[in-house]
Amino acid sequence: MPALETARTRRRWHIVMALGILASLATLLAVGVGPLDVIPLDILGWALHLPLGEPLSDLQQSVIFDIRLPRVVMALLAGIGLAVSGCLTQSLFRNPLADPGLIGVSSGAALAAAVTIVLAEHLPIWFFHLGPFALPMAAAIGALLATFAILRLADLAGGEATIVLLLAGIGIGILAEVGIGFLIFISNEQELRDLTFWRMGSLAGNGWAQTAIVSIPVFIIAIFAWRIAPALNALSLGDDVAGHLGIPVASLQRGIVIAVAAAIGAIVAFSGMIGFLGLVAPHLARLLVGQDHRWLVPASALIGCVIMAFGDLVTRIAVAPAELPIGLVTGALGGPVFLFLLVRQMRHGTT
Amino acid sequence: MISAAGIATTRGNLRNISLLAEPGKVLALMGPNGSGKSTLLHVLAGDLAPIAGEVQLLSRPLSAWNRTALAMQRAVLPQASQVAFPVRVCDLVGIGRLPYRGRARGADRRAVAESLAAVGLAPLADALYHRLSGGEKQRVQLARVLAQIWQPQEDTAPRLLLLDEPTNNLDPAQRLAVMECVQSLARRGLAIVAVLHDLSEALRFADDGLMLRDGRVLAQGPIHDVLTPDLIAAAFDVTAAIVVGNGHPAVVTMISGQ
Repeated sequence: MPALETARTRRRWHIVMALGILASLATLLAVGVGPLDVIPLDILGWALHLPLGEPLSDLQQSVIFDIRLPRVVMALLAGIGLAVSGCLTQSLFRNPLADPGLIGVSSGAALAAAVTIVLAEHLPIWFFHLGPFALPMAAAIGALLATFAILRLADLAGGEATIVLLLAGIGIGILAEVGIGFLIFISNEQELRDLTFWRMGSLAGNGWAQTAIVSIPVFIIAIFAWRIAPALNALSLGDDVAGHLGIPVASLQRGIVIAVAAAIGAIVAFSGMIGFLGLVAPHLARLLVGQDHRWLVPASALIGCVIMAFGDLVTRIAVAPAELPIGLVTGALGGPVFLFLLVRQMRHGTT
Repeated sequence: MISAAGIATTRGNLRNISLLAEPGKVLALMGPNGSGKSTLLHVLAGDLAPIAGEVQLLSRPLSAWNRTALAMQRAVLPQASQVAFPVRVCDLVGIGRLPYRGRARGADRRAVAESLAAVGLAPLADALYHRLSGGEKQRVQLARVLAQIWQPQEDTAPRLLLLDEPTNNLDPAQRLAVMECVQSLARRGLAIVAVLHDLSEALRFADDGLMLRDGRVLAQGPIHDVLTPDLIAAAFDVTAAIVVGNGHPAVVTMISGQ
C-alpha cells in the first residue's frame, strides 16, 4: 500500500503543478490580450524586472497596471472564492450538486446589493459611512440571511434529506429573483444598467480598491477551507460520524456558512452573479484528484483561476469591442456539466 | 470500561438504567421497536445528555472528556452510513484517523492496514467503496471505526466500540461475516456494546444482554439468562422457544396464543 500511496501522491502533485502552470499562462494571456496587445514575454520581463523581451511603453504599462491587472486579479479572486465556496457548500449540504449560485446564496447577495443600489436614498445615512464596504457588506448580509433561511427551512422539513436543502435553496433563490425583478421594475435608467450588470456578472470597471476588498474574504475562506480539509472529509460521511470523530460539528457548520456568505457577498458585490463556477470547479477537481479535501480544495481553487482567467479573455475578445457578461460564459460552461451530473446521480445513485 | 448508573432521558423515555460493559465482551442491547435501545446507545456515545444519572468511561464522567480524547477512546458505528462522494476504501477508513491529526503518519497507515485486515478486507484497500456489496460496505465502516480507536501495541488502555444494528439490511452470509468480525474484535480486548434486532444473532455472538421494554430494564446479565423463552415472551409479546441447530442456539418466535 505505501508504494501505491506515494505513486498517487506524486500524481496529485503533478496535477496540482500542471494546474498552477495553466493558471499562470491563462493569467499572462488575459493580461496581454485586448485592444492593445502586449506580448506575454514583455509583460513577464516588466513584472519580474528581468531583461526579457522588449521594454513596455508608458501607455502599455499604464493599461496593464491600472486597467487589466486589477481586473484579472479580480477574476482570479472570484475564481478562487467561488470554487472554494462550492467545495464548502457541497460538504455542508452533502450533495455534489450544491453550488452557492444554485441554492440561492448568490441570489440573496444580489438582492441585497440591488436593494442597496435602487433604494439608496431611503437607507439610513450611517450605512454610507462604510464607504466602499457598504455594498459588499450588504451583499454578505444578504448571502448570510439566504443561507440561514435555507438551513432553517430544511430543519423544519426534517433536516437530513439533502434534496430538501436544495429545493429550499431553489425556493429562496426564486424569491430573491422576484425581489430583484420588482426592483428592476421600479428602477430608473441608470439603476437598470447597474442591475443588469449584477444579474449576469461582469468584471468590468474593477480597480485595485475593489480588488483589495474582495481579496480579504477570499483569502480568509481559502485558508479556512485548507485548515478544515480533514474535517470536511469526515463531514461528508454525516454529521453524527463527524461528531463521533471529535469534530465540533455545529460550530464548524456555522463557520462554513459565514465564510461562504462573506466570500460570495464580496464577489457578487463587485462582479455580479457568476453562475455555476462553484459547481464546475470542484467537480472537475474531483475527477482529477479525488474526494480528499486536502487536494480537492487547492485543485478546485486553481481550476477556478484557470476558468475565470480564460473566461475573462473570452468575454473581452468574443464580441469586441463590446463585452460579454462573464456570467454567460461560466453559465454556458456550467449548465451542461450540471445536467451531466444530474443524470449521473439519478442513474447511479451517486456521482 | 463504560458504566452507566441511574440513566433517565426525556427523549426515548429511559428510566433508571444502569449497565457495565467490559473489555473482551459483547453486550447486546435488545428490545421491541421504540423501547429505547438506540437512545441508550446515544447516551453511551455522549450524543445525548441524560436528565438523571451518569455515564463513566474509564471511571471518568463522559461530560469531563474532551472531544478528541473521547474520539480516541470510543468509536460509534451508525445504523446507516451514507457516503455522498466516490471514495476509495483505504481513504474512507483513513478518515477514522482524524483525531490523530498532526501525529505520526506511520501509525495512521498501520492503523488503516490492520483495521482492514481485521475485518478481512485487506485486498480491497484500493477498491471504490460504491462498487462494494452491502456487507462489504458495512465491514469497511467497521474498519473505519476500528482505525479510529486503533492503538499501538504498547498502549494497553481498553477501547470501546458502540454499534447500532450492525447487520441491518444485510443478507444471511453478510450478517454472519459482520457478527463474526464483531466477536473476534471483542476477543482481542475491545469492549463492544451493540444494538441487536436479531435475537438469534444476540444469543450466538453476544456475551451479555440487556433487554429493554418501554424505557426500562426488563432483564440484564449473561446472554443465556436474558434470552429465555419467558423473558422474550414478556419483552415482545410473543411465544418463544430456543432451538439448537449445528451446535448453535437460535430463537424461534410465534404469535402468542397460537
